[in-house]
Amino acid sequence: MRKARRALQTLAAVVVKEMKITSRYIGFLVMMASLPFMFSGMMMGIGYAIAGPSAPRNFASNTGVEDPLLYTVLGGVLMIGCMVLIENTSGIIREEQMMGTFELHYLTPNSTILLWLFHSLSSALITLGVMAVNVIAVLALRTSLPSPVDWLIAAGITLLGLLPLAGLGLVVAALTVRFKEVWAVASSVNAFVAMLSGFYYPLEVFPIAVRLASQFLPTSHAAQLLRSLFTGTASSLNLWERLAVMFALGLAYLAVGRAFYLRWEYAAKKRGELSKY
Amino acid sequence: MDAAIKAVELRKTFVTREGGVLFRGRRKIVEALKDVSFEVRKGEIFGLLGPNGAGKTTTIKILSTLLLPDSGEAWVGGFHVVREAPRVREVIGVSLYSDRGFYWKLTGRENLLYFARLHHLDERYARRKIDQLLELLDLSEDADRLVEEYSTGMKSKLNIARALLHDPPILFLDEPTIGLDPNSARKVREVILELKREGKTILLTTHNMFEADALCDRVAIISRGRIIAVGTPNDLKSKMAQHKVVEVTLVGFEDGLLSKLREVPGVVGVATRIRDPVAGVAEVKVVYSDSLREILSPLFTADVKVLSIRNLEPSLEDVFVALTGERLEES
Repeated sequence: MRKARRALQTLAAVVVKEMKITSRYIGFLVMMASLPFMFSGMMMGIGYAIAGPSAPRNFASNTGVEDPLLYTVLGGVLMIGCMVLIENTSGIIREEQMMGTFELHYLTPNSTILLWLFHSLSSALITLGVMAVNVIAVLALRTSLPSPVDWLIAAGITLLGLLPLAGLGLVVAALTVRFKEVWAVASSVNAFVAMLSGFYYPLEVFPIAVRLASQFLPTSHAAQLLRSLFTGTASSLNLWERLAVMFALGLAYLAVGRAFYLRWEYAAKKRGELSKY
Repeated sequence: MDAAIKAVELRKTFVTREGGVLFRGRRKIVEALKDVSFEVRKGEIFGLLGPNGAGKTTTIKILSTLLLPDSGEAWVGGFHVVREAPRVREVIGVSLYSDRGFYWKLTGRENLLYFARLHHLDERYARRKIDQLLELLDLSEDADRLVEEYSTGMKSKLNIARALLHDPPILFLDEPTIGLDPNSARKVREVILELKREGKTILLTTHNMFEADALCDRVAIISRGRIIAVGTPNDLKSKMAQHKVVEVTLVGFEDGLLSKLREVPGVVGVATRIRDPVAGVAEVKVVYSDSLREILSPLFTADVKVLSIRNLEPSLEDVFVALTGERLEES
């Protein structure tokens, strides 16, 4: 009980700190909110350039969704959220080392893995806020707003889709902190995740092997679930089946991230790398 | 255990890399600590005095559980630093940097509140404690400014405030006044003495002999990873009773002169500080126990111009020069 209370206190501390810092980087929030629209515009532009006036008809028949803006904004919000989360978690060791705050967390009575996961959760919550604003804007323009229950389900799907990536981020962070190439590796991982998650297109366009690989990404499940929730498209698995798969993937990603991080942490304490940047 | 801190034969080696373009460079092994042993009594201010790279920060990091020793053992507050690391962290407050260790986009108060929450302090108690610490360190007026606007001195004081948040009985302060203006440095020293009056045990590192002399009950002189001497500042200075100190300012200094001076019988230690590299002006400090005329004879036969010769009262720095042949501060 005491442990749980302390963990909640730590979570609150991290979330409040991250929200405050993010609120002081207004440009970052504006970028996060506007990028999904920009990417959507780009995708729709490419569609028109290739298919001409029949682009919307082709899009509807290939995706089952009449509204390309809603489809791509949903995918775009998830993609930006995923990028921010992987970059934040991957870069957290380096960034905190550069600020001199990294070691200080080791001097507090908390699990450091939990601390960094709470930082990732904060990123996911910020993404949720941005998603709500963007999706509300599109839905209000095009159709009607979903019920509060649908919003809650969407929030759960987004968190379950994004949080496991923190495990991936921890692996990148642990592997790259010695080689000082965090941003290069994080960006490569991001490109890979973005390509295989089907944020802007149905995964059916890929050969079977790629589609199978995409099933190991929680984000591809999240993208499909969000679309079926807001646009009514059919999904090969029902909500609970997909949630169960995402949950299992989440546990596996976090377990791998934890194992890598703990290994790096021990080596860093031996080599004096906790403060090296 | 009576000692608040006890270190026994601590050893630490680092592997670094030199050079390298596409691949990592040549391996270089640096022995940071070589069998470092000392004890700090409860309630005292204990100084680790030594130049940059002597092993002071490595020692503090091992004692604060941030670094694992290769061998040797240490206890802080009676807890083993490796086997009981979480318990050690409960009884220590650590100030590691003078101007880093903060979120720039948070105010001073918000930074402290964040770390207070990570220490699971009750919210109301934490806010009261933070007010108290900000007052103690003369930071109340600037508490609600973003840290990115703070001066080095303010950040250094904020670092000490953070180390005190959970009211630990043992404090580690790594170079607490480095880079500070005289007023801020004086304030930090006053606070350290106030903390001692409250009964806290303080281990501080410094390469400032004046600071060690003014603050520390006992001092360990550390050089190249070894403890050379331990004692009160007066004990250490009394070791100089049979020795005298002279400082010669000269033009035309060359490295060879130092080895010539060291070879003179009666010379205990020699160290130099370059004052003006372009003009070749240097201050040579000689600790000796013989006649001054003999000691200085290499200077008169060398191709140098002596500008001044001063006899000095022995200081902690002279103890350092006598023991290690180095000076504490380069300038």
